[in-house]
Amino acid sequence: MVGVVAYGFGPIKKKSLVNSLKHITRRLCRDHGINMQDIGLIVHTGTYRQNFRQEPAFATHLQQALNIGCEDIGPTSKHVFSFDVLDGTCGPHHALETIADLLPTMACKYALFTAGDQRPNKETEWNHNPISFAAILSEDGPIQLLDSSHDYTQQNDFTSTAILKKKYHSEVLRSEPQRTEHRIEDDLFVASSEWLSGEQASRFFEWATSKNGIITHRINNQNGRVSELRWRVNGE
Amino acid sequence: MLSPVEGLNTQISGFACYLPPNVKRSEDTVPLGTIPRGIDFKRLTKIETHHEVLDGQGSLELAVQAANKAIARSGVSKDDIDLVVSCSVTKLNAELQNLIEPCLASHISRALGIDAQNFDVANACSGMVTGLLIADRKIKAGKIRNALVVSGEYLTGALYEALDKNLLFNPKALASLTIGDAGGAYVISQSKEERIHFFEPLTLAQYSQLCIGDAAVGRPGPAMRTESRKLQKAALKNLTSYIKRDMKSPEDFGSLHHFISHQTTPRAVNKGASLIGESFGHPDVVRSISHTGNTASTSHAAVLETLLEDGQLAPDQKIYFMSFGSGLAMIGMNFHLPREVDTW
Repeated sequence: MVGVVAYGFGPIKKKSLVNSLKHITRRLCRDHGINMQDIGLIVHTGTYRQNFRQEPAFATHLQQALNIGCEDIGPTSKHVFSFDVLDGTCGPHHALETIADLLPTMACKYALFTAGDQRPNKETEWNHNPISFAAILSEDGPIQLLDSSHDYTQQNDFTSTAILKKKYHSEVLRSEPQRTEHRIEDDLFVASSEWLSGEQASRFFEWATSKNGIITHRINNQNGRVSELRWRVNGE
Repeated sequence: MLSPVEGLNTQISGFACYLPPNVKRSEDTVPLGTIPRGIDFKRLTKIETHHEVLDGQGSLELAVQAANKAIARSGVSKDDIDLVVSCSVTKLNAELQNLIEPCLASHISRALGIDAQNFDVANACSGMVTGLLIADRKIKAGKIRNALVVSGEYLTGALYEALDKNLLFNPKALASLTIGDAGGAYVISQSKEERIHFFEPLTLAQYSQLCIGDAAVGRPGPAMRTESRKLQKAALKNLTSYIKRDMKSPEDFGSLHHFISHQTTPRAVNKGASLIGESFGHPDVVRSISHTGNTASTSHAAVLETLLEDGQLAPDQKIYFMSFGSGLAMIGMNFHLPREVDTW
């Protein structure tokens, strides 16, 4: 079982995404007495990167900014494994599940999960105010990830593509997005389809910390893809 | 170090590489005079040819071609696949438009008629081995039965972007000349015995700025900028130390039938083979191919497919994948070939 030990978030404002997440992670570790060198896995999720970057994984840039595991291999050197897991606004669910799958077999105490986006370039229309989110997970974190389910039976033809505009690539939407409003039904948290990954994670965990027992986080993506994670809060 | 997982075991039950039948010779694509100071590209890299997409093909189509072949070879029904992970660096359609959302894995799943959890993994050229590791852990946790780990790499847009540059003033674009298009796929399944072993996955992020793939500026498609000498030096510097952390003796290494590293260029792979020879004494098991170029995350599958076509694969042979990816990601993995491989 893997659970969230601590989390933090904030608006990216004018910072780069990597700097925004670096500051949040450092603050998080400082405030919770977590030794950053005990982090051995970083998994990032998001939809938009600077200039629609494809490689390397964003998580590698964050690892470098945090300066953890950044030494060549020796017989006893300690390392970090970093990569991204992506699926639009459902990305946080797959990323958290991936951490739950990998962390118990790794020789490290903590995993770092991050979610965030930034405007790719000045030609891309941008109506978002992205939130940068970071969480530290361990095998005994108090907000425990129980299981997941994914339903793609209602997937529609909505797509987002980056195509050359003038000098830079810009996002073009095809087909009508499916809108889902945010609502809460007892222990079910249904996210807005308008939220980017950082807001998905921050809004849910803020709500989760006020709860007790088993709760569900559902994300309905704009393309009709639905994913759910079930969590146990406070160990009940 | 990765701890062993007790209980369920895993195996590679199918693999395939698809190379589009549009072959380009290095002397035609990068003729003498393209690289500054009269350097001959083919002599420098030992790359003979690469493959390019056909009209109407993009990352999706390359991935689907490879996936269909891998699934057929595995004997696994599509209904029994519970996870599809797409690991492509490039997510480009035939018009060089970059898919942002939904994930490429969802398009691949729909094209194949597979109703299963799906998402994308981004870890540069180490993407497929990362995807295999995730799938392996899900199977061992009892969450899934079979997974399709797939990639379609439509990379040659970056090659032509580089050719449009003055390479004397843009030396970081030189590495883009080495790339080619391909699709790759693996089916990973439950097994009665343990047939896959992963070594410690790690990222040497101090090198994360040495190879950057962005959307090109002023033209469709991608652009790649690589400090190739520094990156190769970093990879070679850490190669034998990495293997030694988990493989304690030359005898361990001697049990391998084929050692397949990420294929940047045959010349670079040969340098790695020399280092392996010095440390472990078996440089002859290191495999290299010269007809595909660097096909990013699909390069291990391209080597396996070539060995299969050449009749060099036999049931139960032990393969070691050494994965390198921009980042700098390093993941080692060994596995036994499926017992049915000689019937493929």
